[in-house]
Amino acid sequence: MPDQSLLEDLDDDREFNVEFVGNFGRFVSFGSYPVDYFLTSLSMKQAYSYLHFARDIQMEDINFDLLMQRDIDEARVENEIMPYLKQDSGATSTRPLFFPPLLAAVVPVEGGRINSLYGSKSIQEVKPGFSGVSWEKHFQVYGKVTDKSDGLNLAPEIPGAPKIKAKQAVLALRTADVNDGGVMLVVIDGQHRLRALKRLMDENSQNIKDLILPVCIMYPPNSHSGVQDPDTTPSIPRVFRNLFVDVNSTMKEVGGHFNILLSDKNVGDIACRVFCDEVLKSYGKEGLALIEWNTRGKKDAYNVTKKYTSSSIGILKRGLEDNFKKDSYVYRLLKITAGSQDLFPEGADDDEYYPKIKWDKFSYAQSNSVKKRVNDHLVPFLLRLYFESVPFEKMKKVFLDEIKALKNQSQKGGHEGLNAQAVLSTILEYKPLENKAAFKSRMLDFEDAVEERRSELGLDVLRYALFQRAVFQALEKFIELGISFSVSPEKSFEGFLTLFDWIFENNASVFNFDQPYMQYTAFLQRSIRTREDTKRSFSDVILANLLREEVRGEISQLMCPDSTRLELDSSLRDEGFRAAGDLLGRYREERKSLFKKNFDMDYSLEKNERENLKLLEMEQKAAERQVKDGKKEEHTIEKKFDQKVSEYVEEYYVEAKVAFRKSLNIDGDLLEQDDETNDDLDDGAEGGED
Amino acid sequence: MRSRFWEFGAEVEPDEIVEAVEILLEEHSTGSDFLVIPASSLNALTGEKSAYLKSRFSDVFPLRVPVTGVYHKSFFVFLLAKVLGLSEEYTHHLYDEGDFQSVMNCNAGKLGHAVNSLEESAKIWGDYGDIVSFQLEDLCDLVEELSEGDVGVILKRNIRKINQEYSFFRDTLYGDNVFSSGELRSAGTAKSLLLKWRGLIGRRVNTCYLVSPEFDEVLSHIEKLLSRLNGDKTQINAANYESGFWSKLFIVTSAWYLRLALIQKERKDFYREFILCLVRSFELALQASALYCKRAELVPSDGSIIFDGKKIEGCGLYISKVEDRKIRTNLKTGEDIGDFVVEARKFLSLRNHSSLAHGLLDIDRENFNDVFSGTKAMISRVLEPELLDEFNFFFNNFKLPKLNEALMKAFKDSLTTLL
Repeated sequence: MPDQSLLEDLDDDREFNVEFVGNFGRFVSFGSYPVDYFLTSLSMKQAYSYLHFARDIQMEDINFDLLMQRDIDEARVENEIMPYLKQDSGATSTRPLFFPPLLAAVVPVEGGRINSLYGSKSIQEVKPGFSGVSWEKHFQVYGKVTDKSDGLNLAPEIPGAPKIKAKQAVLALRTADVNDGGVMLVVIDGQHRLRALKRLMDENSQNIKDLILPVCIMYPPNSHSGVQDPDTTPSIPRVFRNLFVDVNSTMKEVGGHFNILLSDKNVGDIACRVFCDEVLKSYGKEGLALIEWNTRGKKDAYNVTKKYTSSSIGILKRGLEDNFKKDSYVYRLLKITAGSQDLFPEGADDDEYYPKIKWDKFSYAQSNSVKKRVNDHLVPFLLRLYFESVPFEKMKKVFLDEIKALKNQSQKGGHEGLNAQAVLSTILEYKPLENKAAFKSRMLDFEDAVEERRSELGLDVLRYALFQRAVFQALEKFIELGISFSVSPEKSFEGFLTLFDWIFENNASVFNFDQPYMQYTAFLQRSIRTREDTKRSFSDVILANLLREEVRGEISQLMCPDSTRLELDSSLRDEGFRAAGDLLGRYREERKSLFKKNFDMDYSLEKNERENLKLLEMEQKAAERQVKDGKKEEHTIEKKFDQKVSEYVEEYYVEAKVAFRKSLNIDGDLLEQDDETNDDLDDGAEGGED
Repeated sequence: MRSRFWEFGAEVEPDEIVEAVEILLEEHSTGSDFLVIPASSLNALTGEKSAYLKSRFSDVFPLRVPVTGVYHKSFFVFLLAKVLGLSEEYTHHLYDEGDFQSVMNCNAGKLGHAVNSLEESAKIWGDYGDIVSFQLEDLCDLVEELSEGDVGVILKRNIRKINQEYSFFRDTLYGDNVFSSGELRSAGTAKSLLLKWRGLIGRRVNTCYLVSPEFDEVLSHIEKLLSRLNGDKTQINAANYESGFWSKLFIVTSAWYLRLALIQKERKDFYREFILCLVRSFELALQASALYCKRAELVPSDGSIIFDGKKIEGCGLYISKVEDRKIRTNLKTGEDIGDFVVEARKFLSLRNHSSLAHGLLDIDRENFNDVFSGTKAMISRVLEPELLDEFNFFFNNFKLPKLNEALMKAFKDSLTTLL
């Protein structure tokens, strides 16, 4: 029996300050990484104070893992869950309500940051007959020791670890709100339910004071600092991330961006995730606010939906996946060779380390290395493109200027200060904007200001997802071309950026919707045509700028400073011609098919022209019917309508061609690569032969 | 003195060019000689030689895109002469096997004649006259028939666009806005404004390429304004009569009426309507002020204007409100207001005594300018600065470039196809 007075002394400095009683269990299947859990119940009052949202943790140096976890879809809370709980009172006597248990993770927190591991794990006898395991300074699980076969071993990997009666266990926590460096219970599934409950508590706690919540608390017992090799041990954030996806994807779709961010399954998804991490590290919250990463709608996930952002990780994912999925690119971009020890260690088991890595096929053991390679070799490209290239840099500046204005205003206090503060925390902290007219109007002002300045700088085209995906497509051309000249992807990327920057410095209007060649190929009047061809058109316009000698020279010099420079230069020029030709070819086809469809609504044609076309169309259709019915031979009919359409389209085509040539500002005919001209003067006016 | 164009049609060796030019200008020099030469040939010359060429000709035109075919060449030179403002009596010579040969093309003359006669008509009947519009269509046909090569296609497209834009302007912006008598009776002032401008913007869709960027900007402004006046995005015809942007739409319309008055004045045969347009412009400016200072409101059912709970109609009543200082204006002192009211009432009585109001006589054409500038000055005095800025912006841009300027621009633009 320990000395009573000693116990009292200990009481002041207890390691753990909260205890729950419940059932202990373990989830392991086919050798999976073990996760232990603890089922218990919490009164609303306890839930209110002990269960946290990830976003409750405020910190300066926020990391992306946490940012992601803490994102709550307030609309769902307000429109679905709260109304469910607030069934109208008349029906309460007959209408039962229930929530499945909340799932909360035991998260070690220190100085506001998630620790990657728990404190080291050890066996402890808590009191006679009661034994358990504790993770130093974090938490402890114990129960009555038993020898029976239904007893559960708390730590099977430790020799001589006790078995306890699983059905009567105690979970003791050292909570972070009392002791810094302790743990928090962070809800990873059911945070919307919890949010709804907390909001109802705030409104009127009387209505839900009798509610006792079922809660399942979980933790990976082996992720602790006492392990032999902490580097290969799955970190706590990572384990929970995996569980978050599994739990949510089997129940309902996590939705939109979260499916990308929470997946480790392919290089594209990892790149998005690492990209966000790095953006936050290098450019802070302001930088991350420029990239949409927490959109939940499936369709919106692949577009730029906010007025002030420059891109979305959905676009990034698609841009990468559409162009760089091929094995050869995966190996080159990530600098993987057959001898890469981190991925293919000698003598490793083929099941554990796949002998061949693909875009979406690598083992769990290899995924850390893949992630590191993505971080080292791929993400720097993306950061430069989205934050340092000429147009995106301008966009960033516009945004930061307006943020600065908000910050200045928020410091002034008063109503204006409050409004500015609310807008700032929506943009930078992702907190929902309260439904107040003044807040909304300040937000609108902010958005309008960003939009207006962006337009003035000629950057509107950047915001189209299809344009950004076209950028990746054009980049792929560069890398492909680079490979055939043995140029590294880094160099090819530099080459591409040179072109991209040059265009936006010198010729940004080349993408304007009012350029005749952009109509039909990418735009219809002022709206973009949402189809894959639009992407090709943008990419062609980017690449057609290679016809400009000055920028092409700079690029070939940069990529191939040696003797092959001229060869590369001419390949780049060919690519420029190819792109220009493809764009114009596409223009002709599209113009023709839309002209046929819409000529009777085309008021740029005179009324009599429209009528004449209509007549020709009817005649031709009638003749074609006769051919079909076998009354006429196909070669006997004249396709006058088609001919007339071609005449019109030819005119539009020339207009588009001329405009394209002008906007590229190049000499010679755009479609004739050969400099020799065929002068068709019948009297042979080519002078200079003698 | 006749101007002459000397052209090297294809690439020629640098020495040969210089030699040919030396011989040419030794033989006959008129002081109005122009050189047309492939850009690549010109670039191949040394600095000294190209400076020599430039010094010997009035101007040198390097062709960046090869012009093929003799008709195409002569059409190009015709455009060049037109843009340079030369008389049609120029000559064109093409270098061929060591010598320059004359090129003939009488078609270009036909086109030149048509352009001149169109410009004359515009001078007499104003740019928006019916006769001018017929002639513009004829010109389109003629260009279609005569133009050659890419440069011809572009000219054809450019002239068509002018025609299209002018007809949009004439028929849609300043044309009739016809509604059934029921619709007309049920539309208060604000609603009728909305119908007019929505209709206009709706028909704008097919004129994506505008000759005048300023006019385009005006239309974009109106489009934005209309979207702010729409109370319910799901319903096209819904209007939010509580919006603070209505005063802006009134100002737009006021500026539009003033411009219409000016167009009527230029068309000359519509002098009766001239004075009515001025009064409408003036009245709308006062209404805009009343809405702007939030003294007047719009009735949610039909968009008519109420003042202190009562509907008011008629320009005279608004003048009284200004006099009683019920409408806040830019007139600060009692004296300013007094002067303004006297002038405004005089102006109104002019309308009341004219033949389309309650009299039988009309204003003498010689007084047009005075009345017009008097009205514009009154509006400028009464509007508060923000409204006045808007008013001026719209008034200044509710117009197209002069027809002759637009045509000249079309010629120039077509030429840059090759230069």
